[in-house]
Amino acid sequence: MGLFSIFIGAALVNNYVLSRFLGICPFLGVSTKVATSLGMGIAVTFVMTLASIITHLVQVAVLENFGIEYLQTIAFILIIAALVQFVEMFLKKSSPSLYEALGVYLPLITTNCAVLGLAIINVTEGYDIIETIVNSLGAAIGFTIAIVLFAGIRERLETADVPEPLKGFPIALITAGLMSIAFLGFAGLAL
Amino acid sequence: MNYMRILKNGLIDENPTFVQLLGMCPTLAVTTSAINGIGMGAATTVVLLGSNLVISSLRKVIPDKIRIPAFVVIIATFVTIIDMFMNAYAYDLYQALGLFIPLIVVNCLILGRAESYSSKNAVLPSAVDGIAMGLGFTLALALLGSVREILGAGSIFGFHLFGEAFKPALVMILPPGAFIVLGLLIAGINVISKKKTA
Amino acid sequence: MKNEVLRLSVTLFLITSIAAGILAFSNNLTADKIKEVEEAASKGGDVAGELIPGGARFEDIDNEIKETIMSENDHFTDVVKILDNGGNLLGYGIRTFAPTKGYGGDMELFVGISTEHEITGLKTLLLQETPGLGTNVENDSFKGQFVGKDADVIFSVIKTTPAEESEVSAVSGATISSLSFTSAINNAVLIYDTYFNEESSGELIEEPEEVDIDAALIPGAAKLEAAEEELITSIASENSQFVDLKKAFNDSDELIGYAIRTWSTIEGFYDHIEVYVGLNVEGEVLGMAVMTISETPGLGTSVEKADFQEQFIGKNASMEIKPVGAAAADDEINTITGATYSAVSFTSAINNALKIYNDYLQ
Repeated sequence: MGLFSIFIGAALVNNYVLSRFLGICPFLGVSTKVATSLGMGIAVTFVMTLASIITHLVQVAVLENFGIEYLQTIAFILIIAALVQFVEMFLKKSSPSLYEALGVYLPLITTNCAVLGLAIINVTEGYDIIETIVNSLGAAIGFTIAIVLFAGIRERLETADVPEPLKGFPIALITAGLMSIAFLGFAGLAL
Repeated sequence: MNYMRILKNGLIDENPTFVQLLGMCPTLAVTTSAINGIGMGAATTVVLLGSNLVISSLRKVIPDKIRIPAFVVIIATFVTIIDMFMNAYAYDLYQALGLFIPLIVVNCLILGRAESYSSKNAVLPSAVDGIAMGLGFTLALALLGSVREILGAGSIFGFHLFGEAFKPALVMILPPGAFIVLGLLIAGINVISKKKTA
Repeated sequence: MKNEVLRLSVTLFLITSIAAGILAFSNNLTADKIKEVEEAASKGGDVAGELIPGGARFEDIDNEIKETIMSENDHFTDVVKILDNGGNLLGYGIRTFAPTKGYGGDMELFVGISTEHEITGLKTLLLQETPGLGTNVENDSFKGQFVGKDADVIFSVIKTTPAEESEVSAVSGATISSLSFTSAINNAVLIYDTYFNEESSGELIEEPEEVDIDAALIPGAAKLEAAEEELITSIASENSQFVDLKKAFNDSDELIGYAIRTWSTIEGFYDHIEVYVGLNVEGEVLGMAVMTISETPGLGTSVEKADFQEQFIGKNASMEIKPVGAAAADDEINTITGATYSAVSFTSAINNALKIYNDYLQ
């Protein structure tokens, strides 16, 4: 399974947001401005990649080694929570403006199903460490592409004449649906 | 303690899906059929009930500074237990829900309830709140699942409704259908609640 | 401050340990049932019956055999014996991935093949196709096409109504899924034929039509006997396409004709064609049979069809048969649309047989 194929698969063909339904909460919640979305995307990419590497190592060295795979959920979520804490502290010191902009959404990366989902998928697919990294980068970049594109559309929707009942979430969801149809076009893309 | 009010709150006023807009990931992913929607709702309800009970019981004991990690560990424990039991005793549903069973742990609904209700209230009300929110969630998923199943597969709970000639709108059980149907349902509910308050 | 961090960490560690303990207990409770349920999904008694009617349970096959197959076949997963209630061997269950990938990913099938080399049942173990489209390969209308067929042909997927045993109709709108599914069946059939079929010819080919050589070449022949050594040698020394000559006798032991085996003089599309031609004593063509052919299946191989070969019957050694587009004269025959080279080659073989008759048998 080519590394490139894994990457494109995670980013486009099986886009984590639009096909796998992971990371929907931040996708719908943060995507009102392109700039914030890009920041969120970068933060998520960082967390996703690091989290995947660490969870992969823990899975192999600890969980499988001692036959305690059933502790996977607890172990993975604690690792992710700890990682997000560190990213928060790091951002607070190095880029306070981004920290401010992301606000409450930063700790929410912990509950971003995309991060945990990705960690679990890496294990179920049986990827080695290199494939894990490539898959994670692909997934994260796919997430970023989706959220930035979506924010772009939503920024324009702000000024559009949307019927009252559809304003806000409903029209956002329908837009996401149309984007999802577009991404369906990648299906069958065999590399 | 007005338990009826707690129940109504979870089912309607603060419905996790249609009002609070929480737990979107499983909502969109598993509602390809009514049964799957209900199954996920039921599993989530069990976790909600369990974690609300435990967190409420321990609310005076868990130090505030580590409450979030503590909540997460407790929730994760219940999720793992439910995962094991579904694997053993509800294999078909387990396979259908797949990845989203362990993902219940990051369902913002559960952590949200722990943070805003069960860590601040007595055990019995917390338990009822857990059941109420869980039921509200299950109902929403059942509704979404039914609509998608009827339109996308021409069946409900596996029973075929229309004849051979009916060609279902396949897109309904594919990802785009999830987004669109949920969007329209929320819009519909907005209309209904606007009419009520008008 | 330090004390607080320590206290908090210990508390968290305590909570986590209790949780881990609870989970270990829960794991103990469910681990066996989980194993049971996952085994049953692919190895339960019901599955045995699904694969071969009457099948009650599975029995493992020698590891050595499995290892051999695994080393030679990339997509093979597993194979088990299927026994009935009385412990009799009904056939085999072959687990294999699809060599051709499906639309959504890998596909894995469990194929039941009886000891009578019949495909008796199928079960999909892994299917990741589009719901409502690719998943329709699980419908009886598609997978039912394989059940009941002999496990000695390689199946091909076509879009129209199947005409041959080895053809199946694709699921409308799901060609890739259909191809993938079929490739898995073919791999299972190949594995069965190579390792478990004692009667196997060793080569999986499309079902050849059974030809009774004698009757096809010279109607009424009771036996074919080898011709004299010197005759054969002298023909062979001067005619490089000549292969063999036999004399045909009827019940009363009268010579009624000759069977001449020869290669074509003109190459076909891919290669020369070898034909066995039956002539009566006057040098008239009575019948023929293709012995070796490497032409395009479905096109060039049409020279084997009756409606093409009929044209030659009655032609005699006084003429050189000409393959043309629209046959009008006695010495002309129609070529096959889209298979001119093959038809021309075949005709040259017949002509060579007639030439041999002229030179040696008159």
